[in-house]
Amino acid sequence: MTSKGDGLPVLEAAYREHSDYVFGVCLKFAGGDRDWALDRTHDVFIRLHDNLRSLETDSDLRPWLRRVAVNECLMDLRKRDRRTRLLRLFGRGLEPQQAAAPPGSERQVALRRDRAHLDVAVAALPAQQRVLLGLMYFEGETLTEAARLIGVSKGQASKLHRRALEALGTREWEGKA
Amino acid sequence: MSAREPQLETPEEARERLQAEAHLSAVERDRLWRRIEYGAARGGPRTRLSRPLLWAPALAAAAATLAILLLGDEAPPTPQASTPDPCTLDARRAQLELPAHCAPQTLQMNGDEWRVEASTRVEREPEGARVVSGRVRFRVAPRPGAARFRVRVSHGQVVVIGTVFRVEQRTEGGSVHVSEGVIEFVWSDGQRERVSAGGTLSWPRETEPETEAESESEAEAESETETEPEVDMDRVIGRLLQLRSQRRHDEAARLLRETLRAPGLTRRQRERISYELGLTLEASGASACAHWRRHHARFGAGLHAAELDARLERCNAP
Repeated sequence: MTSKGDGLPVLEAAYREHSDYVFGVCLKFAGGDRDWALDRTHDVFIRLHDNLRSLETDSDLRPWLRRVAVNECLMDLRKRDRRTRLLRLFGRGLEPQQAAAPPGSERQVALRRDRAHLDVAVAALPAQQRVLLGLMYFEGETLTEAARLIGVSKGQASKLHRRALEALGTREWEGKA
Repeated sequence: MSAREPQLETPEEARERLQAEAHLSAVERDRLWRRIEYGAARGGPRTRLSRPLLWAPALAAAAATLAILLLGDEAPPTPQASTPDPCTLDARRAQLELPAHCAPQTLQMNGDEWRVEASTRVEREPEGARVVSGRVRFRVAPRPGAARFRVRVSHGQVVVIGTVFRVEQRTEGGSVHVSEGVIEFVWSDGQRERVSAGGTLSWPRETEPETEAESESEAEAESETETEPEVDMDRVIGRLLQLRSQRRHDEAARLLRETLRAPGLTRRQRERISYELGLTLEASGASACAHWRRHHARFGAGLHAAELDARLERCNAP
């Protein structure tokens, strides 16, 4: 459709139209870390730029952007999980309650009014569980659709969901699966 | 987590809150676009601004400043636009300066830890940092492959191999003190020196690199072996750090003994490996007195005089 050089106007138009949407998707997996969500939004639009030639930019980009945003967030969280494990291996691990949290984990204890933020609590989970819960509880996806988006079977997603709720220490939302 | 269970938001509350927060401010939107525009214009591999491009915060800060200037009064007030507390360092900034009256600050920098003391100015660089003045203690996470964290100072740079060390830069000179692991100091003229745990290196040089005690032929031999080392010291040190962190002290000691037997090492390298072997034996819980005595007999007080003296004193105590 366009070369990379002259794709910038198209990219900018898409950015102006969809940046809030993409940012909103990323924010749901960010565990309260706004900067992290901004970084992932950046990655999504760079990916869009890389794929401008093969995409029909006249059609609705949102499904594609959402899928890429979920992938980008999941990949980054997995990388962070690996890094946390590696740091622990070198004896440089963070304290257990901090280890699974993203940078900006000081926000882990962020409270608004007298309520602990659910997304911050979810941030302490491994990457797949975190994204699965984000999709199901913040994005309103079914277990089946969330499983498809993160690339696991429904059975596997069900296990991830159960473990995540166990880790969170709550079962009050189990009926939503 | 269970203690906080009754206070946890419901998913509906969280969703509402997240929806309300999912809005980019004008400054955020503009700053992010400039980052994307830059990354897209570069083409080729995707631009990851989170980690490899450590100068990105400088670009982002510049873009934010530009955006504020361009938007003028129309820009909504944001945290970036407010006057920052000088005693609270922003880890995203390219230049960090902690005034004299402030308490030390510990920053998490992409997995590394920087403890910045008062009256310190330090700059982030693509491969690490530059200590312009003052004192910073770095705790550096191991890098994959050949990547190395580097700290530039007035007379050279510290090349790090997964370690904890403190850099002090004064007006005329400075020093690096290593608490854990090993660093390599690369002088501005290209000469390299390794400093291991417990060691300190100061700049500028007070003496010539080669000591007078070494014979001419030995110095010549060292010069040859330094250009073509037969032992991959980076690999040895990397493996040593790994084994130590896993508390596999027996294997670490075996590695060091094998390395000591390898040909082509300089006297200094042997001394440092022997010193590391002593530390490893101590860490394993074994008595290292016999080793320290042999070390002293072979190398004298050497590079770790103070630490060696203290250990021998303890060994000789009744």
